[in-house]
Amino acid sequence: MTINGTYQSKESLFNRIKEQFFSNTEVLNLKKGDVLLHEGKSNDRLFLVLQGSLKGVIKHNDESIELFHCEKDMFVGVYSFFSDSGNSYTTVIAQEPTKLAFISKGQLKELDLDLVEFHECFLPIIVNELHHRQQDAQRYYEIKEGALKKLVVQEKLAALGQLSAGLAHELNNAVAVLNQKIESFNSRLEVTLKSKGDQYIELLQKTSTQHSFESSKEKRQQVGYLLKQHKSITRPQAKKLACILSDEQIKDKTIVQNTLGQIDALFEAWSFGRDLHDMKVATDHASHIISSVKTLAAPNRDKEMVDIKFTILKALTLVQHQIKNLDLVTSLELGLETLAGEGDLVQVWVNLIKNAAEAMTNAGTKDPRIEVNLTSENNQIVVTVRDNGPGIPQEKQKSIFAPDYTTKKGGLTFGLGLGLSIVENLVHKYDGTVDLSSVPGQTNFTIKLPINHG
Amino acid sequence: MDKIYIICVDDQPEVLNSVLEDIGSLEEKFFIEGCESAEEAEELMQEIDAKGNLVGLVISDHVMPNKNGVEFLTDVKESDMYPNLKKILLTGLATHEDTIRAINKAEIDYYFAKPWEKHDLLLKVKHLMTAFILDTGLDYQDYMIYMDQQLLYRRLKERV
Repeated sequence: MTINGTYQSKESLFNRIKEQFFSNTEVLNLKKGDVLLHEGKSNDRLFLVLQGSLKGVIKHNDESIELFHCEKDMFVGVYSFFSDSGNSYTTVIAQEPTKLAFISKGQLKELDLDLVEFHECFLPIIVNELHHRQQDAQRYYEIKEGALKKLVVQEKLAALGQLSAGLAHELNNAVAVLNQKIESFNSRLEVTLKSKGDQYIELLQKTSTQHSFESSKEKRQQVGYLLKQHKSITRPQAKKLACILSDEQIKDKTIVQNTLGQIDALFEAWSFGRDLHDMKVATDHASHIISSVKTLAAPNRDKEMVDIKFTILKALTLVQHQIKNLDLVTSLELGLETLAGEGDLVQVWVNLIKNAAEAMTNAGTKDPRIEVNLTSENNQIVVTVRDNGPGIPQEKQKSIFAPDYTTKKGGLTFGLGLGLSIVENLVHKYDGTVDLSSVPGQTNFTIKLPINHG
Repeated sequence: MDKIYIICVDDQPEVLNSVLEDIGSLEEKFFIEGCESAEEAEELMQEIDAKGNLVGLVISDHVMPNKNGVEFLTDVKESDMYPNLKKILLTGLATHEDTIRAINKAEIDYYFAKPWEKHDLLLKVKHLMTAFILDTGLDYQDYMIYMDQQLLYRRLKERV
């Protein structure tokens, strides 16, 4: 018996083989879970799947790893049937009720075939099978790789969350102590100063609770005025008077002269007040930063009704260092609420604003400017973050959302290095959308979120 | 006696106050001024210069709105108006590149990281003011109490 035809197309070759070897052979029926071949055991049959599907698995460290799967019109047992060892390298299990036709080595002998010719004829089929398995392996690899990457991102976030929570706790303790000491210092000073007279206490109280002081320039003008008006006053004295006295008092010559008599003691009281004031400002600033960082890294992100405006304001506090050198324009509508994790939203804005600022700094953009707008449109919350930086080239506009995309080349940046991929993930989490439009000189990120009416 | 100014620049009033207070003891001999922006400092320095007085030292923060510290100090350096001027960069946040620029382009004399130690700052300021006075050829005896004695001794020995 010979095999008809020499070179043929894959389909016709397959059909010919199917007809010639598998049309009148025995048929095997398997139930779901039945094992067709055992890993390491010999096999002398070549199977053709007529119906159903099977998978080939190997055991590795007590774990089953799927290597390939076979469907209708595919061959099983290719390796063991054609290889020298004759052993199956996987365990093949039916995944559903499956029907197979097979031919055994014994049957092949009975057919009195030229084996070389037979093997040659099967070669394209074998190669095809191998290629198919290779593709499977590639696919499994990619899935695994993706899962690993996701895990790394999650671990990074979790680590950051824990680290910031711990840090925030420690810093809060320190700030709390400072706050308490400032208060107690303040009241003790008042007691001490009481003996000196009401003027001192008033000065201390006024300075320590003052909201704003004269600017350095205004003060310089006052000093200049005093030196001009009072020839006898020295420069250090004028400086002290400018601190102690109000704008009106400085113009009153009698008050100025009267103050001169006890200028050093009064200035001392003023300095105490100013120092207490500055310390309060510094601790307030520290607590504010700590609370923002805590929100950002909060490990349990419960959904709640959040006013978008406040999340944007928090984000702006967090990035204030990065945006110090640029123009910030905001137009934020109050009262737009959505159901989300507050920290998540803060993180979205932080990432967008930081990215814009960094892109402009790196490109050396002239008159850098960031606009943040919050408004509503068609029952949706619309936030746009716009910058006048170099823009994102068309071909890169898709890839910037990938987790490892970055334009940053070292330097000092506080960040997760995940930027826009996080933005996209978080916004999608709350059924929102991220849109990007960018040309040199204007880049717009538009975030849309559903409005929730509480 | 010439009027010599020390200019401190920081946009945060509380920080500016702290710097001014730390070097306040030098006020008897030097004119110490605080400015809240680079622009304000530039204006003031021009006024001082116009009146024929001297600016001996600038202590500047880096991260400030509009013009940052390194840009400010670079402009001051490149203006050639203040040939012997000493410059200190006092900052809590400067990138690697900013720092390189500060040294190479602004030619700063010293870099202080926030938070600083009062003692160190005062010593450095005295040291740089001594250098300024000697470089400019002023009569150092007027300022004797605030001089860095070691530097003075070394420089005088070189002269002989």
